[in-house]
Amino acid sequence: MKLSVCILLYLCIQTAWCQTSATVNFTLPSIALLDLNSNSSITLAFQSPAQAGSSIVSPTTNTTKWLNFTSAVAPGVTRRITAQVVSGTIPNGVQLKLETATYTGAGSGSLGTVTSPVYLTTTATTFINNIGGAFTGNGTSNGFNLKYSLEIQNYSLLRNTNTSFTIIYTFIDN
Amino acid sequence: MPRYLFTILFLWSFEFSLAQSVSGNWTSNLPASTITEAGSNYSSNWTSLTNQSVISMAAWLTNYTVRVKKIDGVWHSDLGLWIHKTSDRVGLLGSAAPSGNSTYFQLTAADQVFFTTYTGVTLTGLPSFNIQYEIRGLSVTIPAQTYSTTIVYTISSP
Repeated sequence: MKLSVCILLYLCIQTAWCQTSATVNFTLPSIALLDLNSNSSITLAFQSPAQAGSSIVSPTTNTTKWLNFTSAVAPGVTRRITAQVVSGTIPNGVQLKLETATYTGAGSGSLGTVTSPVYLTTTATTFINNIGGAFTGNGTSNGFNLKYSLEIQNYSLLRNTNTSFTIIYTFIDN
Repeated sequence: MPRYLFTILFLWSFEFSLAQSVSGNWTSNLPASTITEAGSNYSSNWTSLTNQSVISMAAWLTNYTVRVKKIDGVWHSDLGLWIHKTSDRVGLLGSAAPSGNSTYFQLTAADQVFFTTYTGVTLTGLPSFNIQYEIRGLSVTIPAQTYSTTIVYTISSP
């Protein structure tokens, strides 16, 4: 009798059921990476006019630069990209125009809103704003194509000169 | 003889009454250095250790079915949590199906059969199974914050 009760008890226990758990927590980081393809120097040179009385010839615009970025942001956060002239000055009577093309490439996400054109000075100027989580794709033909050109602002201030300056781009939280 | 049998069955039953358990949560921070080139997105999945969780059974000579699901806390619909079993520790005559290193499958809110096992018998230790997790669908377009989910294992016998 004891044996049969024990076997029955065992069989009952054998039909067991149990729930247990494990937790997964992981954190996606905030990321801000900005790159210029390529970052080699460019030259913009005014040319002398062929005829007396004509204006000097503005340099050919340069469209060799592509701006790539990767942005991962916390909820509610946006970023902007600014440009400014550092380590050098733009010659008097001339202004540097930056035109930013609409986005193209293999990226995705909230790629921001472009302001174009902007004129670059030693003060940081925002030209892409409201960037969220996004990536542009890497290398040329991905991201934002930048067009640089020089415009004559005031003829009376022009002087024969050869100068160089650096433009720095900054990727910053709003 | 019945007295010995009674004792054996009592001890066996006592052993079985111990709860099955899962040890090992997975907490990790995806390093920002995962992306090295501006313009790029995450290029791979994020994988735990091969023995990130260990499911331990409470008895030998027993058939078990293990089902699994997840209950999301803070989660993003683009993220997928995948799971697989990397190894079995069963006793003599024991088995698991699928056996050994099984293929990944995606966890959902509904129970899915993970594996079944007959634990066999051995004189040392209890049967256990190593579990690995993987997060797929990573993208910088997903908000940067902490995500959490609870993986619920339901272990039944037979």
